[in-house]
Amino acid sequence: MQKMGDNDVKKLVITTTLIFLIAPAFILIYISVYNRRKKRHIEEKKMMQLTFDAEITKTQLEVQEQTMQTIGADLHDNIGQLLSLTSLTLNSIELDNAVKARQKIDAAIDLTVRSIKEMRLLGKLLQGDQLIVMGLTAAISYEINWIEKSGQYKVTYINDGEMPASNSPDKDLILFRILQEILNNIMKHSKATEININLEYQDAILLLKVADNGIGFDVDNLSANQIGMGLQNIQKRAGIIGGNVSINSSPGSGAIITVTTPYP
Amino acid sequence: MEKSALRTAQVHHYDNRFMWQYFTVNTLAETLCFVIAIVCLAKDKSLIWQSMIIYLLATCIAEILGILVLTTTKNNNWVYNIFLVFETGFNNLMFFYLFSKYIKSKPLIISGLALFSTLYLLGLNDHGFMLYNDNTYAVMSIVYVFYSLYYYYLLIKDEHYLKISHSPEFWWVAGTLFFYFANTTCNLYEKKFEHIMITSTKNLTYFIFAGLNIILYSLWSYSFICRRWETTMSKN
Repeated sequence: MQKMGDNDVKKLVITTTLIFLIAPAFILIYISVYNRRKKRHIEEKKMMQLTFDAEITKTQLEVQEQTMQTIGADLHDNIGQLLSLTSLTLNSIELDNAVKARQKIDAAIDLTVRSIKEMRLLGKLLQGDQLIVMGLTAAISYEINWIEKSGQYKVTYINDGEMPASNSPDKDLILFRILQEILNNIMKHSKATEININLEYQDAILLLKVADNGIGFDVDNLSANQIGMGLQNIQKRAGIIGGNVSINSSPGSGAIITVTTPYP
Repeated sequence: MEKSALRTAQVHHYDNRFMWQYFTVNTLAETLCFVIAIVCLAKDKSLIWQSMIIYLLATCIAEILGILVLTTTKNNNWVYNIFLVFETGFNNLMFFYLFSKYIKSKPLIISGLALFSTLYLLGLNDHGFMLYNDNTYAVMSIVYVFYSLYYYYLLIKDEHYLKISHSPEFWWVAGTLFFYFANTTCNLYEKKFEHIMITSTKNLTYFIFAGLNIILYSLWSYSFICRRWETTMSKN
C-alpha cells in the first residue's frame, strides 16, 4: 500500500477542515431561513387576529344596530300604540258614570301593565351584549321570542346535546349574528310561515340549522341581489371561526342553512 | 481553542526575538476579544455574560503563560491542562444559561461535567500532568458540538421569533459550533500530521487553529456587541 505523502495529507486535512466549516455554515443558513419563515408566520397570525378582532367589533355593532331597530319598531308599533290607547281610554272616562268609569280605568290599567311588560322585554333586549354572556342558547331564545311576538311565524327551537361548560364568547357572538342574518333573510325574502331552529352539540362540534318553509331559491344560480342577501357574509363569518356553511334550497321548497363549527 | 500555542510548541521552537513571540494571531485575537468583552459586558446585568470577561482574561493569561513557559522549560502542557478546566467550566456555564431559557438544563450540563471529570482524571492518571489531556479535549469538543446543535434545535422549535442577526446567544453558539466542529479533524488525526510544516517554524495544525481562533473570537466579539446593543436598547 502506498503511503500518503505530506502534501496529500496537507490537502486532505485542509479539505476536511473546510468541509467541517461549511457544515455549520449551512446549519446557520438553514436556521436563518427557517427563522424568517417563522417571522412571516407570526406576522400572518397577527394579521389574522387583527382581522378577527375587527370582525368581532363589526359583529357587535351589527347586533347592537339590529337591537336598536327592533326597539325602534317595537316602540312605534307596540308600546306607542298601547300608550296612545291608554291615553284615549283615560280621556274618555266620564266621572259621572261610575260603573263605566271603573271599566275604562280597569282597561287603562290593563294597557299600562302590558306596556310595562313590553318595556321590560325591551330593557332586556337593550342588554344585547349581556344576552351573549348568558350563552348562545339563551340569546337564541330571546331572539325567537321577538319573532313569535309578531304572530307571523311559527317558530320551533330544538336544543340537542349539552353545551360545554366553557363557552367561547367570540364564537357565540358570531353564531348569534349569523342566526340574526338568516332570520332577517327569511323575514325579508322567504315568505315563510314556519321556522325550525336546531342547535346541536356533539364531539366538540356545534351545529346550527335553520330551516324554513318559504319560497326557496336556486343555490347554484343566485342573482347579484340574492348574493347580497348576506349569504356571503354568513359564509365569511363562519370561516373566521373555523366553521362551514351549507345551503340547501330550491325554488318552492324552502331553505335549510346549516352552520357547523368547532366549539368552544 | 487555546491549544494553538501548545501545538506549536510540540513541534518547533518559538522565535526567540523577545517580545515579538507574544504577538501571535491567537494572542491578538484573544486580547481583542477580551477588550471587546470588557467594553460590552462590564456593566451587563447578567453575571453569566460578565463571567465571559474573566474567561477571556484567563484565556489571554494562559496563552501568554504558555509561550513564556515554553521558552524556559520547553513544556507548557500543564498550563493548558489547567486551562482546560476553565474552558470546560465557562463553556458549560454558558450553555447552562442558554438552555435554561428552553429546558431544565441541569441534568444535561451535570452529565457533561461528569463526563469531563471522569475523562480528565483518567487522563491524568494515565499520562500525568505534563502531557496534554488530548482525549478529554476531543470528547468535550464533540459535547460542545452536540450542545450547540441542540441549542439551535430548541431555538427552531420555540414558537417565538428571535431576531438572530442581533442575538448574542445565537452568535456565541455559532462561534462555539464553528470552532469545535471544524477542529474535529485536528483532534482526531492530530498525531498523523503534526509533523507537517507549513513554514520553517510553524506546522499545519498551528495555521488551522489560528484560522479557527479568528472565526471563534470574531463571532464571540460580535456576540458581545449584540449583547451590549440588547441591554442598551432594553434600558431605553
